[in-house]
Amino acid sequence: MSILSIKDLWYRYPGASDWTLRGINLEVQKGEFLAIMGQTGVGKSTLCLTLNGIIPHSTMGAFKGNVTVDGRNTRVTAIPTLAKTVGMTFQDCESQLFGLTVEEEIAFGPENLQIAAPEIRKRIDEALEIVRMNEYQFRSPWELSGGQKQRVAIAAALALQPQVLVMDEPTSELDPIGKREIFSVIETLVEEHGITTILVEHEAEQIAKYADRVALMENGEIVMEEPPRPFFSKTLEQEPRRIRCPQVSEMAYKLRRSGNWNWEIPITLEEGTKRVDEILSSGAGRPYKQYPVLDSQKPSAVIEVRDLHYSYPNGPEALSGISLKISSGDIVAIIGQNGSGKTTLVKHFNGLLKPTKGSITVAGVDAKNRTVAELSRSVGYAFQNPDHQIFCQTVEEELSFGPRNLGLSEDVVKRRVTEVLQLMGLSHLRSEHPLSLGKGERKLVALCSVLTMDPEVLVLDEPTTGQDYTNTQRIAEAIKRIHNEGKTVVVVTHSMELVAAVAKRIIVLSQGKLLLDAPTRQAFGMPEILSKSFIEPPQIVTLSSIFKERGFPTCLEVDEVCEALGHPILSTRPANQ
Amino acid sequence: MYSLYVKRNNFICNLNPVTKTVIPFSLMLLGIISSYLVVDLIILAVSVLLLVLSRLSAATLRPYLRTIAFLSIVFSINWLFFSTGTGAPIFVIGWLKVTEHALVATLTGITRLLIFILTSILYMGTISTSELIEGLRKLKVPYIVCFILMMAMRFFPTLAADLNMIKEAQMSRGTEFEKGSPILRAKKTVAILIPLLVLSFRRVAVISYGLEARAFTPSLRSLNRTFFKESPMRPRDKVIVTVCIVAFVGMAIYEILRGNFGVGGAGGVV
Repeated sequence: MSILSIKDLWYRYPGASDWTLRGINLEVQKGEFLAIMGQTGVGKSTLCLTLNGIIPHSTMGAFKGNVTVDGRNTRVTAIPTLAKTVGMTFQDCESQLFGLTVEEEIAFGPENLQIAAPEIRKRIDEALEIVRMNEYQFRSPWELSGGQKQRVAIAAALALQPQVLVMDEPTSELDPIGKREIFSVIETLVEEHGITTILVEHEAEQIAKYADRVALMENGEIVMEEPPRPFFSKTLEQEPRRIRCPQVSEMAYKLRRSGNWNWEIPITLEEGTKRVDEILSSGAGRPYKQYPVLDSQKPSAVIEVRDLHYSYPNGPEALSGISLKISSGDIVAIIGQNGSGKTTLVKHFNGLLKPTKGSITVAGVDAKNRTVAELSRSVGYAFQNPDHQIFCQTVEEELSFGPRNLGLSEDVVKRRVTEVLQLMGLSHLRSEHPLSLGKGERKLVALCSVLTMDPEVLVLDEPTTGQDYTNTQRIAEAIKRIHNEGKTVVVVTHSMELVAAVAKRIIVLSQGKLLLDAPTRQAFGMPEILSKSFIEPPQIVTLSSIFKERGFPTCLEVDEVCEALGHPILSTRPANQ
Repeated sequence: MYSLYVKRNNFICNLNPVTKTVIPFSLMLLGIISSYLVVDLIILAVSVLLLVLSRLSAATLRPYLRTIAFLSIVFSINWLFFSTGTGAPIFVIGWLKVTEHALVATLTGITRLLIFILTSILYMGTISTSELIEGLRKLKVPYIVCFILMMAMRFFPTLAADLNMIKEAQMSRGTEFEKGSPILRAKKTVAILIPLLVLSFRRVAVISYGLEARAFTPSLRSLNRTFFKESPMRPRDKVIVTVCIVAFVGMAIYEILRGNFGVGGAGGVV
């Protein structure tokens, strides 16, 4: 039985010249789990907003077609009535919580529906039970972690007892623990409560595990709707590919193309492992190609941290006795959960924070006695959210801001802007308004605006968080180009695929302490240490580690596994770790 | 972090939010309308007693004590030596003259200042933000006003975090906000204000979608919602609120009858 039906839906935002949604047709069955994938800006979030009537009731713009939820046409049904049927959560975990405590947050919806107090109490307890947050009910939302905030948002939506739950990128801003928490809640919802779920996500591996059906959106249209296996099999054939696929699927697809995979495409780690086991048992690939662990650390350090301690005012110690060296020309990834001290550590690199105890030397000088402005000549720092820094009228102005602050002449500033735009392939954006650009381009502009200051070291805080597959690839490519220019790059990230793709060394922090400092391949070969910090290596690394005892190498990327199995892939990048 | 309130289990903190709102406001109002220093001193004593009973920690009070001391000294000097009141001088040092009237005015002024600050601390230190909203709502402040206040309190820490992050991001690009002439420094704040505005606008869009997705329909006229948490109005609350109202109304009537209503500043008499 269809609970949601969309017929020839078109929508154009006020003032926009193009339609954001272009003739969408979709049926969702009761109890079904539908995942929607697609690049940023293709209309996924807009589609979500049409499901509970926010579009067209609260937005102007042109609306054609019909959306029917549980027999009600959204055009003629008020939003509060639709809210009883369709619960919704959003990507921004901070802005969707309005309550001063968790229980008030969850009560907010039922209160608006004028439900009696005893019933609301019951719903709060039930919703908190599902998201496993009972002990947090009197806490304030701002005291919670990102994953906990999203869980509260889900509980708040569930308290309306909706028939359909729509979640718009619930995990894209979360750390690995947060992601794990949300998918565990989703698993409970699907398996124990059978609620109809519509999930917009980029996490292909999780979608493959839970979804009944996946829809692909492109340019305002749904271009494919399939169960996960055929969905990912077909997506892999797309050129260029626009979304992430499970790495095991990608591996099988590449092997199939070279005539070395005769089974159906696997979509989970278990399926992929079973088949690789069969391949290895047949003796293929022996002796396996080995990838040497290369230590990128050199004797000369551009940043040297000695016994660094830091405590926030009136707070506990955030860093306790960190000692490390970052070599000139290295690419280092600093990883660990939120609260492990990653950002606190890198803020010492450009003087935003000063050590409580211990010392830090940047490019040969003690950072303790230098201002942020002075250190910004040596260490560039690109923040996670580009919107925290973009403020100029044109991309050129934005890129000129930093070097002008350094007192450089206009000729030098102009030359640097041109060089950086060329290096990053963004010359065509020079006169554009940076705020009008898409999410990925804004991120690259923010990165360029630090790069024009020509620092020796570039610190990138969460460069790929919230970015789609294509933008993540572009950012990874940009990091490699910056490194090839001779810069030292420090990446703070939760994305293990980015780490595997670009980093030569990994520094793992846990509760303010240094847990591990090793070359990437060596670190990923130590899952027992990584799991202490709840870090899960990329799927393909895990797969290769499973066969470690048979002498199979630790592989960082899909191409390496194919190669180790004896089937080199032509596009393989040089193994540099 | 941004609130004085810490949950504690004691007589004052366990009162109904309405009572916790009425007590400090009535003490303030009594302080304003009373024209007797001795009455002001009694109100001050009650305020101190309530603060002690509420068991606010010394660490919480310490920063305010410094402010109180600073303001008391500044106002005392101003009122004691520069008020134009009449009356016999008590003592004269050179051109500085302190009259009896000025002394009384100063004592009254300082007492009222202390009442204001201490009752404000009492209010903010004994009431959680949720209770504050509940208290105002039950005192017939329109829900939409309470809601706006609630949103302001909820998003203040978020806004502060955004502001800090923007400042750090621009400092990392070599901006020195403390350097340069006042005009130059004002110009530099553009680099903070624009991102803050853009972020806030984006946030407001998500907030409004989020509110609607949870069936929120703001209305000025009717209260079209229920409240799951209603703190009970116990006998002790009723007694305290009645005492506050009677004291205020009684004092107001008395002052009106004496023709002294509306005495402002430090114009009280002993």
